[in-house]
Amino acid sequence: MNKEKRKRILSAIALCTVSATLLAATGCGKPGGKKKSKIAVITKNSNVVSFWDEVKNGAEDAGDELGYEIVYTIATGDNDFATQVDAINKAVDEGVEAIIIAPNSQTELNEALAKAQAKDIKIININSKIDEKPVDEKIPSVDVLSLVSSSDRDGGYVAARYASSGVLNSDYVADEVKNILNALQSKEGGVNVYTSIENLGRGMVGIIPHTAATAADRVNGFKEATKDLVIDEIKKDFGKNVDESALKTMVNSDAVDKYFVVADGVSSVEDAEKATTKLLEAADCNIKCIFATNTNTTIGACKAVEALGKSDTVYVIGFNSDEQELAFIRTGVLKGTVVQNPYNMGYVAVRYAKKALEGENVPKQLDTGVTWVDAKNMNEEYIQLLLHPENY
Amino acid sequence: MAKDKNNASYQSGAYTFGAILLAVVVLANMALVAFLSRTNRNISTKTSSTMSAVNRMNTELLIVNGNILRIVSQMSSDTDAIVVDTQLAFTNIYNAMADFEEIDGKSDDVERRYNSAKAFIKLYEDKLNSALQKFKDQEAKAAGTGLEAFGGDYRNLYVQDLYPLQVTASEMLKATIDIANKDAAAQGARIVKVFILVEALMLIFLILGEIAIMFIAKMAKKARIDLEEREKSLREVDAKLKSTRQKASDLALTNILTGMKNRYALDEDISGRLESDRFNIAVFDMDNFRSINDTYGYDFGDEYLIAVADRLKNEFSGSAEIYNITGNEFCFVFNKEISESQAMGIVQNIHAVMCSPYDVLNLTVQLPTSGSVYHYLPGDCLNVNSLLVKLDTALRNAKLNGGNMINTVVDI
Repeated sequence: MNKEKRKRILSAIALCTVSATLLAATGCGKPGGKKKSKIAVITKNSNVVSFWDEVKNGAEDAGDELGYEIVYTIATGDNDFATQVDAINKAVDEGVEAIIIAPNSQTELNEALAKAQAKDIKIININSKIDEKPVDEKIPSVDVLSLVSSSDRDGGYVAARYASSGVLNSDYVADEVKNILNALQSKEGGVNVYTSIENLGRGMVGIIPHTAATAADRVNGFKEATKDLVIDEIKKDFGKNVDESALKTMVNSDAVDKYFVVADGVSSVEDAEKATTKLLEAADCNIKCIFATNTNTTIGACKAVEALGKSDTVYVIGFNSDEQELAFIRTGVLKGTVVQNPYNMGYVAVRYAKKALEGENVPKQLDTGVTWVDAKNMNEEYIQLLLHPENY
Repeated sequence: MAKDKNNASYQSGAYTFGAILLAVVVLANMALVAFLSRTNRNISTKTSSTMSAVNRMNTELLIVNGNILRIVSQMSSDTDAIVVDTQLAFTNIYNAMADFEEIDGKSDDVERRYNSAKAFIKLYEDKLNSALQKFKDQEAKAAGTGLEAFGGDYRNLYVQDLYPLQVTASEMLKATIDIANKDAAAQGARIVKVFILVEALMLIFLILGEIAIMFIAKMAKKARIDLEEREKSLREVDAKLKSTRQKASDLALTNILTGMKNRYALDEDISGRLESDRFNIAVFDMDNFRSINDTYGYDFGDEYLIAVADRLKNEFSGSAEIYNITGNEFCFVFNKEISESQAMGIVQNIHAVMCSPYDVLNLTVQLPTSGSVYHYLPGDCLNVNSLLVKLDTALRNAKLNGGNMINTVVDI
């Protein structure tokens, strides 16, 4: 009896031991202490912290979710590609599996990136485009798996489209538009039309661009939108009486450029403030609207307008969503700003890197979009999500 | 007795413990397996409903995007129909959202991604509705004015306001699924870990229990052996006691000096025979033995007696039972087969032996001896005492008559 019982207990022990070891053997494989793989994220400008901080937050959240360690580097300025080259080389040495790069140069990083790529490191491009196949044959080409960015041209365009009342400065345009219409209707052609469009608003809109390559695209988008708005405006009032092809020729001519006064590119808030003050005080201009193309220029422009007490008469349009910018929106100095989605840029880039590392195909391009934020919509939930993704 | 019970309770305790242990382990295992399979089922149900809800949202978003593209590319001018389709698609999306939100136990990461996707979807819906309105206005205006709808404007609206929101929302939805899957995998791994942990604990528990059982069994065995040993020693003590008692009783019936049976032994031996047996009995006594003691001391007298007794034992123990009933008085109860005449012959021999000289402590001593003999017939005496009185009386008469003679008891 005693023996029999002991046998049973012993066999139970044996069974448990076998099952436990089996389970341990199968179960331990998964969580087994594999060291976290690394993904390098290299961004542009430590003077524009808020935007790049969001990129970093997005990348780190994705890293946490997907199990990657994010190695983050930020260059010291818009043209500081040297830091970025160092960061790429260092990342290669550290054995990262992917590099996410917001390039400060279209071609200067190619050599370092090509080296990284030779080591099977995946390259994801964010914010602005790298020249993958430069014309210059001495510069190596790079195979970028995906470009995650918002179009700067569209960003500029959106700024003008949503701020049309400020850009066109309606009251003033209304009178001038009549002149244009008269010119168009008279079918006298060329000269009159040309003169009228020049008169449309010479020096009406001041533009304070930043120093990076993205500034030009934003400015162009902004100008393009303004032209479309003018056409739209004229069409709205005069409908089929408008000779559309003449109108388009007229609006797209260089003459309309005189509507804009574009300052030299500036980097710091102080320089932007100075440049804005200079524009506003210039004798030959009648600035009714200011478009600033990034965070620092926006803050500078707002400060200048506020200092000159012109916040009621000058319509300021900004870019990005620094806390200071949002504060200017609340006080009414800044009428609106174009918000990119830096958090998502970082987040999606890391996701794509992970997918690429797992052998999946990723979209060659993803537009993270831009959103117009003004005093009216800034408290909407979805805008808050864009402005403060860390709170969600 | 009490020890036995204790021992039994030891053993039955071990068995009960073993049975309970086995039951606990088996039940715990069953519970664990049930828990594991239920949790796994829950996880897979949850994962599949999460995926289904999110995929539905994503599919509808793609459908909406396709519809919008048809307007933007001017492949369809039936904006009204597309407005209806879009509303239907968003109804489906909100249904899927409701389904998704009903699923409980989602991780913070999943909630976060989903909330972000939801916000983008809402923003998308918002922009989409205003874009559709704009398209309709433009269509109406174009119809009224005869102008073609302005394609460039459509393109800008789509590229700037709609497309990025849709792809971002889709990305967030995909991220939601990925995280949900990862959570499910992590949860599965965690459950396996718990399972292993509990199994390991149970194993330890079982091993400890088994050690305890073995220990108890060992203790029980030891107790049994102890008990057996105690019983054995008890038996030995008992036997010793018995032999001591035997010795004591033997001592009571023996003359210490000569080692012969004493008067009590005689009493015990023959009192039962007085009623029924006939036998020959004789007593002898050395005349004037007292003079030896007085002359040479008691020690010498003792040695003398020992020498006499030894000789008597050697020569007559075959034919009679010899008793040393007082100091120098010996009583002979002849065996049954010894006849009266034979007995008389032996009595003569006894007399001769006792009268003969003895070397005691380098001295030769010799004393005359008197005796009395009695041919006992059944019922002659009521007790041994009266028998001895008869014999002693006859012996005294012989001594009174000069001693060194044998007198016969004659019943009157």
